[in-house]
Amino acid sequence: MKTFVFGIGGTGARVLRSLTLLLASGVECKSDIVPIIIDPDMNNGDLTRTVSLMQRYVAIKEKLHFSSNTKNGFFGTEVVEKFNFRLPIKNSQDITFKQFLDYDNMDYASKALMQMLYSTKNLSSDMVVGFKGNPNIGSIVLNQFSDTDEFSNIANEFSQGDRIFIISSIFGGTGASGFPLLLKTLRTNGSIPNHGLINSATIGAVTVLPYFKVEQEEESSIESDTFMSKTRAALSYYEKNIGNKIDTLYYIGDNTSSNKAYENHEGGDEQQNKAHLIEMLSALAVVDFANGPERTGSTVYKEFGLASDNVANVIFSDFAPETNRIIRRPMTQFMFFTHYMSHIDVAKCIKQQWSRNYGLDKNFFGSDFITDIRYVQEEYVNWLKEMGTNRVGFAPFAWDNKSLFDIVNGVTPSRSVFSIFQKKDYEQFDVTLDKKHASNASGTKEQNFMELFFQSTGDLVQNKLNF
Amino acid sequence: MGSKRLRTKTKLSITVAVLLLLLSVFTIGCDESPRTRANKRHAKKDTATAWILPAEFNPIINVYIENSGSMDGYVKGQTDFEHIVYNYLVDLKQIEVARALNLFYINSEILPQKDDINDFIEKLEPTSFQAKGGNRGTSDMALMMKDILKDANDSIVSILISDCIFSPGKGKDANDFLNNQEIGIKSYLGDYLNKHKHFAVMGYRCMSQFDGYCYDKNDRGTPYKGSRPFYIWLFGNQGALNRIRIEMQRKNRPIRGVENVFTAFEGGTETPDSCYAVKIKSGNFDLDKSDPKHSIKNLKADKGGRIRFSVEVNYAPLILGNDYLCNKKLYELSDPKFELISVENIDEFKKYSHLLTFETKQVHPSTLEIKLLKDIPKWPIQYNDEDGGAITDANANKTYGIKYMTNGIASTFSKNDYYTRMTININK
Amino acid sequence: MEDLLGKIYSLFDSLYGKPLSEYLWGYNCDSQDYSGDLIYNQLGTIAIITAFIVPPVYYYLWNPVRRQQLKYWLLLGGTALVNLLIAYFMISSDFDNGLIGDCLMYAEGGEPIIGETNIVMFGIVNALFTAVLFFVFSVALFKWGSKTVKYYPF
Repeated sequence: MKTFVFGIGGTGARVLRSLTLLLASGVECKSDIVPIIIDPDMNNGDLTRTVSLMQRYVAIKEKLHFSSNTKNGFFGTEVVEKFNFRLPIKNSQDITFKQFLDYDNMDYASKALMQMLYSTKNLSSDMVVGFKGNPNIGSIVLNQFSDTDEFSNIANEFSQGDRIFIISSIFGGTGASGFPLLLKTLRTNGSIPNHGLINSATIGAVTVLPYFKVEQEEESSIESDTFMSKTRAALSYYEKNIGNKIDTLYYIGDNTSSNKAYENHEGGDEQQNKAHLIEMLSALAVVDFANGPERTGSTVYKEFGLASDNVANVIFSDFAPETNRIIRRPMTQFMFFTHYMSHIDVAKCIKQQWSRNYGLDKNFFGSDFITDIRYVQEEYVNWLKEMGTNRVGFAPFAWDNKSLFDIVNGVTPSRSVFSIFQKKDYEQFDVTLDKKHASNASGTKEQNFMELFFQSTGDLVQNKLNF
Repeated sequence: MGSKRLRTKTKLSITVAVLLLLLSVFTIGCDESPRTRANKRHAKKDTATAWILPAEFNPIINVYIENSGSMDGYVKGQTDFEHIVYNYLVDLKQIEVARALNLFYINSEILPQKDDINDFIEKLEPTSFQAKGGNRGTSDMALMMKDILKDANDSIVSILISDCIFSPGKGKDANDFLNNQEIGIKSYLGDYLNKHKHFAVMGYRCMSQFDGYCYDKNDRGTPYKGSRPFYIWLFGNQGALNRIRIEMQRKNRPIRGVENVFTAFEGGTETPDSCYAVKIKSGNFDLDKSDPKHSIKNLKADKGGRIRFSVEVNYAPLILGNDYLCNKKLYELSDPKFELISVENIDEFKKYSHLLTFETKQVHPSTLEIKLLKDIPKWPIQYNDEDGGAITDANANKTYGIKYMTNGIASTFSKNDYYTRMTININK
Repeated sequence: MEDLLGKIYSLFDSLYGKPLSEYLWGYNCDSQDYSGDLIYNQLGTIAIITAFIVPPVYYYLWNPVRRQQLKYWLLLGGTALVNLLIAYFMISSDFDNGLIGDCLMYAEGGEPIIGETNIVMFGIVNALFTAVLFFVFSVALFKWGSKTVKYYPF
């Protein structure tokens, strides 16, 4: 079963980044994910970062096999790459909006209408970096995305039981306009391939309300002051037009008054915002949807609740048990895995019995597989650190911890009576790895490696942190 | 794939290691059990005669001095004869080995004398010889021995001091007489030997001034003044004789004036295990752990390139002196590839008296049997007077018929051709 | 079979001298036989025991995951050293108490042929013997079941 996840605009890209990292850590998702980013801003920093990450994920996943015997959860969900994860938008490069409209070839009345609807600035803006917070432009340009060959190809792949999910921000330019358009196409367009299946497919979406500000910048057309008004405008449109078209709609947002302001970049590679908890929770919406029930006919509206009130820096214990059940263990396991790979150099690894049992030699540790894993893990750390310094922050792990196991904020590692005899930290990790081996000695090296680390980190989390 | 290679390497390592271990254990460990070895050696021991240790009892010593006419010349005035005999008797008394020291004159009769040595020696004059009586005309050595031994037993040592000159008598066939004497001596001594298995005889030839008449085989006397030989013979149990000999040595009172020695006893013994042992460090070899005294292994050339070893042995129980024992030629080795390099005297009174050193040019396994042979000294032949004529300066040091006497004694003890033998196992 | 240990040690007796070797075999100068203590067996047994009980400590109790190679060889070396010292002090004490017979102590001329050097050399031989045993026991028996150091010393 596949879930086609359309991530529209910068927010879409950032949520997909969170989703990829959650899936890498082993958050369970019953469906394969096909991420498709829709953003005319080809060089958008968030987009390129996310695409890069997803490419690595796919490369890693390719080398792993999952059967009924596999216990490994890391990179457990299949992520399908289509067209480099991007849906191109025709004719939006290197031209102004005016040119897109073919303004110059309009008759006088149409021109007048255009001038009424759009400001001069709007008409003369080039769309290389998207619609810069102007959904009025976006709604026109994006209307044609279903005409692309790529979209047809994707639609062709849609099978019975597959689902669709749309991620968008309500206050931006690309997202706000794209979401309703996309939804309308999916539900009503009779000329797309497989329209029968698609028109009646289970569709969900997360609409991200404002959760950040940008710094005041004169030259930029983006102002966070306008986020609220744009939100209201969009919401009223959704109320009328989205309603019955969608099966599950997730809303999420945050009070922006206390939030830090981001640097004001209109787009391009400099628009690379720091990760935010909201994006991670949006990603959880994707998982929730993918694991959820089939289309029932009536729309379900969902929101996210924390267990604790008014927290500036959220940690695991601030989440409700339902949330922790999904993310706490995988994220912690992956954190241990990350720490090991970043702290222990190859020279030590290859001396361990676990690596020798599986023939994990220098070549293995220098392979693309390991390089890709390190990349993903580094991104994981960056992502966490970004969320940690953001407001509302999410800082489940401590970075200045003395002991390897004492990394989960709010949780004290258990100490047994025999702890004086036990080895410390990474040595204990190696001992766990050594003792864990041999159950799947028949797989590939990559498979064995991953299985070993998953099981070992699982044991460590269980024994040291009791969850 | 990696793990399969591991498994093969695993099995290989175990097998190799275990094999090496077992191999070394077996090459080093496997050997004949020590018990079998010891049994092999003991199996060949069948003692012919028992090894006699020096007696622990004090024997009765009976001293018989021949007082026939030919003896007068030895006792005229102060002579070596008197000195030697006196000193000998005194020493015998001093070393306190005798339960009793009895003195006798002997010719055809045995004439007991008072056991006062001083008195006895003072009275050693021709006049008292003559006065003591008896048939002083003949010297029947055989009969004399028979008489002496008649009342002898293992606890008695009989000492005969005589010039040992045969006198066939006027008109008798001298040759017949000598031969008969020889046969007679053999017979009488043989009878005694049959009854006393450990009978032994020791003889000393001494020189003394002589001034008197020497009688030829026809009993014709000619005067002679000069040096003449006389003999001291000891008859008795080998252990008793040895006790006397050893005590005299220990108390530093050896018999003086001895020019030649004659020893006779049966022998034929196996040197007891405790009386000989290979000397550790005497060569490049290992002692056989199952028989460290008598068996050696891995005999190899030493630093000087010599393949040799030494054996310490206690020959003190044999009543043989160093002149005899240290003569390499008197030892016979069963393995011609081995040579006896030397026999050294260690110390009569220590655990081992002598050290024998053996050498071979080529390492080879061997059971080396070492026999100490019986050898009849040559001096009786050298000092034998065959003619029995008048005594002149030329033949003054000879004794008529002494050869026949010593032959007779020697042939009594002729069952074995060796005194004792011992065995050393080499590289076996 | 009771001579086995002695025979193994004796292969190297040229290093510490035959006279000392004879003493270790239990040669008694007075009775000229091997009725003394078979010290080879005493020391050999200690060597075997230590070489047998120390490796399992490494492979099953200690279970090092860092510097495994170094630790192995240190342990092997330490065990060998301990056996060297045991041998050295045991024999030295016999030596000082005059328990080694004169026939082994001195040459014909009276010059001493067993001395400090011999005892030290034998200590070294004992250490080597222990080291080899330690290695063989490790490799043939104990390392296979270890959880962390199965591949050490190789």
